Amino acid sequence: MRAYISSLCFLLIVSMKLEASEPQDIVIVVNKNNPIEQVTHRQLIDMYMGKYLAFPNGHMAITLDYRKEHPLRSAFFKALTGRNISQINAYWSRVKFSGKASPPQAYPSTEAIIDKVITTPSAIAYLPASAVTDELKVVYRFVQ
Amino acid sequence: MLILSLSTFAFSVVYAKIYYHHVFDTELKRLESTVRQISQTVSSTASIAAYLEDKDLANEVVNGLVSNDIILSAALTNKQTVLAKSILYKDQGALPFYLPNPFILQENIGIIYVVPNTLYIEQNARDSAFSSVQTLLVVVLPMLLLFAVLALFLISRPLGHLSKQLASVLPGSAQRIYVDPLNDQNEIGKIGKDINVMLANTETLFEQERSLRVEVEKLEKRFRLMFERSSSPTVLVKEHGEVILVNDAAKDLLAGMGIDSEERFPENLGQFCKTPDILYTFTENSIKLKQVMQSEFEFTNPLTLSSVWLSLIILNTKSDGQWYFQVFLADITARKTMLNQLSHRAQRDSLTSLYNRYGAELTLMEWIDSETQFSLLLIDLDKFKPVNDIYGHNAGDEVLKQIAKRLAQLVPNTELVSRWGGDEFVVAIKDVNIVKVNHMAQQVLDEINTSITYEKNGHRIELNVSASIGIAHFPMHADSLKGLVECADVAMYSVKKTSKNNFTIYST
Repeated sequence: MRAYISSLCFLLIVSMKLEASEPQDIVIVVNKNNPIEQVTHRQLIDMYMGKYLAFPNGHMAITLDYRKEHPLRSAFFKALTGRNISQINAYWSRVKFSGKASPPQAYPSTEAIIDKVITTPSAIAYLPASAVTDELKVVYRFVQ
Repeated sequence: MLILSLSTFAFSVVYAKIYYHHVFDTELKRLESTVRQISQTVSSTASIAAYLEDKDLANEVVNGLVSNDIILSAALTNKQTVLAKSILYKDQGALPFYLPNPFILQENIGIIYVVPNTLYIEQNARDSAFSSVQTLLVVVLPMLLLFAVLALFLISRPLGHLSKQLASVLPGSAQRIYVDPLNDQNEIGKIGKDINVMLANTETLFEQERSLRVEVEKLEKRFRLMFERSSSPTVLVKEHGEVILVNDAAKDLLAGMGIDSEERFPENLGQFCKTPDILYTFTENSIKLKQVMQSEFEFTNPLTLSSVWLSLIILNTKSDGQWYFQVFLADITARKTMLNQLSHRAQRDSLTSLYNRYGAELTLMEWIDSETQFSLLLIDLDKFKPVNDIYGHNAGDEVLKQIAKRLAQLVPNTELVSRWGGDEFVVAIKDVNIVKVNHMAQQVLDEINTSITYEKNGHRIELNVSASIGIAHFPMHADSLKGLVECADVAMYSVKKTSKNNFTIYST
């Protein structure tokens, strides 16, 4: 029985790993109360790359990101800018030096991001499509 | 040698100039491409600065650019505003580099303007080109110098030596030039040998020429001798009368007439010619028609004042495009005199020396031809036959001689007196009226009636004759000589039949 459970667990882990490594849709979410219904790809770039810290309607926006080691980050920036993560990191290290713009706040996991979006009306973040809940509003969807 | 040095120098200068420009251009292009590369290098940072409108970052980019020697100034703009520019920046001469959006590559979001430091770049290029040329000249000049020196010793000197030798060679002589054994196998040696072959040919040609000239001289001498010793006086004249050659016979002839043989032809002869106009026309025609012409002219020898007859033959010859006239002279005075004497004899009566009938007829024919009016007196002696019969023929001859003498004295030279035949005389007088004719007829009768003294065997005998004279006038009575004589004859017979010792004019 124990052997059966452990083998089941192993299968689960393997299946989870397989699921994680597969390409998956990434969506942009905001607080449910945010009046914004959708954003454009371009507006997303400008917000995430530090050009504008506001929604298209002029309200301030707080961009949320994952920590450097998070696997979703690389996929997101690739989808957003067409560049790999090392180029994005180089960009930020150059921009931070002059102090004009600063990178988004970094969080360790999707759960932490979801909590932050739910509690912050001006937050904007990206999630795997599968992680979206009813308390979030999807404003953009990257199609793989 | 000078030309060689000069051309070497000129080549160096031209080549250095071309090389200088080449290096200068290459250097200029290289520096411009460097400017491009530097601008390319900063373009990603510049894109970010333009994207974020980050003036600090933009300044950093611009300062970085300007810190290069080859960039004078720079500016960075995004679509609306100038984000940064260096102090000296001006639009003029700025090279634009378009900046893409760092995340959306198709979109241009700004421009970097870079002004190259043209002065610096050019100075740099110039320095670089100059040092290249210096290096080149350091290599090339000694090489050219070496080449020039080698050319001097291997080509110019030996050629000069050959030319000096050649200048001292007398053409046609047996002299040859010396070919250095060192040059035996090269072009200089070949030239020397060729020159010697040419000299040998020249010598042969000269030899032939010389022997030919000797031949020609020999021939010329013979011809000259023939011409000069010829007994026929000959003068060679150029087209305009210049006398070129006069042989000995001609010299003698001309000298005998007091003519300088150097004088121009035909004036030299014309001055003493009795008919110079005819002589000049004759020579002119001969020269014009280029034909052989012959004629005879009478001259007065100024030394002896005697008459000289010369025969002239003019022969035209063309030689080397120039016309020459050979004038053959011949003194024909003796022949002419003889002919005159013969003619005189034929026309004269040997007894009385008056014109005979033939001579008289010639003169009268001339008068008739020239339509000269004249009266003809036909004189027939009466009682002449008895003189012959009684006193002999000598007495008769004496009568005729005496009467002829008296008539010749009575009638002027310009008129005609002749013995017509036997005891008949004819006197003709030009341009006379009837009174004068009658007077003349009377005078003739008087002369004839005068007694003639004849000596025979120591006895003086007085002989008396008379005459019947018939007169006819040309052209009143007849227009031909025959007719005129017939008229005179008719008139004379009418006298003879009636009174005798009288005269009458022909009447129809």
